[in-house]
Amino acid sequence: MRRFFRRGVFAALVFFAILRSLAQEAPDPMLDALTKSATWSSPAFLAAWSPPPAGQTRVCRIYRGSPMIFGVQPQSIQGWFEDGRLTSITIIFLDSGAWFGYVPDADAKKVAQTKGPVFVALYKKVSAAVSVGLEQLASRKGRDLVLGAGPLKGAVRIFLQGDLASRLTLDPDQLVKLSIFPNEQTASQFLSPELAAMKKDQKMRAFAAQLQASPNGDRLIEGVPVIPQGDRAYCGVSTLAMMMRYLGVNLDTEDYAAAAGIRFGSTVGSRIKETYDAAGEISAIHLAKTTKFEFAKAKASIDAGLPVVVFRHWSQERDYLHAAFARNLAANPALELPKPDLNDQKLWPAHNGYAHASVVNGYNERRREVIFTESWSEHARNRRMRIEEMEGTSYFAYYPHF
Amino acid sequence: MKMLPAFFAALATIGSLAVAIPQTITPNGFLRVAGVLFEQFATDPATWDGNADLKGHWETQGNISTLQDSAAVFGISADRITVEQEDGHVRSIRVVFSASPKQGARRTDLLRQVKANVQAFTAEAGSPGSGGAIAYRYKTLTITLRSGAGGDVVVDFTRA
Repeated sequence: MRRFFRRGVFAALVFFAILRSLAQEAPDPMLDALTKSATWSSPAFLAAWSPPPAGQTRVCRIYRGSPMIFGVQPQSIQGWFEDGRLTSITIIFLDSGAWFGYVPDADAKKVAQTKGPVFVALYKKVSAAVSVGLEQLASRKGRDLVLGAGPLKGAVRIFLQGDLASRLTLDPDQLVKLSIFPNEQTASQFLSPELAAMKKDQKMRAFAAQLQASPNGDRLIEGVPVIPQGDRAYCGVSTLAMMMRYLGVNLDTEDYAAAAGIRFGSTVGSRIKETYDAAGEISAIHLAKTTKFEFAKAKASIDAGLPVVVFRHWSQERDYLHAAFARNLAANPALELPKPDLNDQKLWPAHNGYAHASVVNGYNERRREVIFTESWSEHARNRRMRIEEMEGTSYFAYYPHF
Repeated sequence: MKMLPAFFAALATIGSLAVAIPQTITPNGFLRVAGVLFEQFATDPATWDGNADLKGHWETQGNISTLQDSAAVFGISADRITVEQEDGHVRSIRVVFSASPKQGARRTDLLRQVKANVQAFTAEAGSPGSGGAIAYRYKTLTITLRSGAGGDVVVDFTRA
């Protein structure tokens, strides 16, 4: 009996070892998705992405597998979906912001001196591995192109692999990124071909149609994708990526971070303003700017279906209030934010506090509220703040207009 | 014309100010360990029914346990959190916000700050209690807010 039991245990162990080995050897479907468009619609592949947020049509989802690609473990893989259809894949092999994490200004120099050389060596290794791997996959060298404007102007390499196309971005000592698109035309330009082909009045109608008006007075653009910045000093560039993705620009947070010069995890000396201007040029939509949030200008943009970006002073305490209020408002529409009197103003974030950027994607003039979304997660979508507070705590704002 | 210098001053500063915060700002050990905000834990009926261990790391002396993890409660960094238990059942939870925290500057308007955020959490205006306290009903609990010594603010969670 004992011998029989031992044999049973042994057989079970062997069985599980084989199962494990099979599971380890099974190729990740992402490898197929690099060259075959058919994989993009296969149920097994689609199931490997983070669940889509409810009620959103244009979303960024995270790939949950962790495949080795060209011998490199990517830092992240994002999928861009429209109405449930995968439209492009972004593979971040190496991003300085993700590698260094958030580096406060005071530590920037020391971190650059101590960890910088390690990252530079890693960049060389990863960029070489990805370049060689991609050439082998495509069976030919890529086609070099210069795309973009201002700080976003740079060389990219276009590859055709299988029935798909890809754009390789190598930003020295900063970023190794591969974007995969259904065709060469989309890979070869930053602005989506559909939008690039539209006339101005067609675009105006298309964006205006994105605005939803509710009986309670809310005027809301729901189609702005949330792009989580992670623990990187990327709120300014993630909000830019959110606004620009909505406007049809196929660039990522990491591209804007590289262009802005957010180096080795630090924003010291970064060129945010120039990067915003360049992104506006690529989107072919004007970006007006003011040194504080002006509701009238924001209203005009939002009414045109165009979201606004606000740079503002931020505090954890006030952030809590806005988040909790938005959560409770759904259950109790009679709730009101605190009146922006002198007592309330004392609780607003101080000018010497943290700086932050948010996307303003709606408003309710009757309730004197702006509706804004953070580059954190879907949980930070459609928060609310009094117009007076947004005006009183902001220090810069961008308003797209035709 | 006056606007012009302000505009250029803002342009000059935006680069360094624009992207200053990561997604997570303050240490919140309790959230990391327990997976929920402290106020969610404190108002969860399971915390009070006596069948579950307290989430997070606690040090117990007699019937008082003190939270060892850092925690933000109602969005504000708390300085001391204690739970009073009897026969394994939670009787009360106390959160103290210090006006002069060990780290960071002295907090002004602390009572107003806590009050605003408790109101936002409970979606209630609160009612006056004894000794200048303000009481909020939330689920089966009463959350009482009052001024402590030296401008500190004390929040008690008790059964209603």
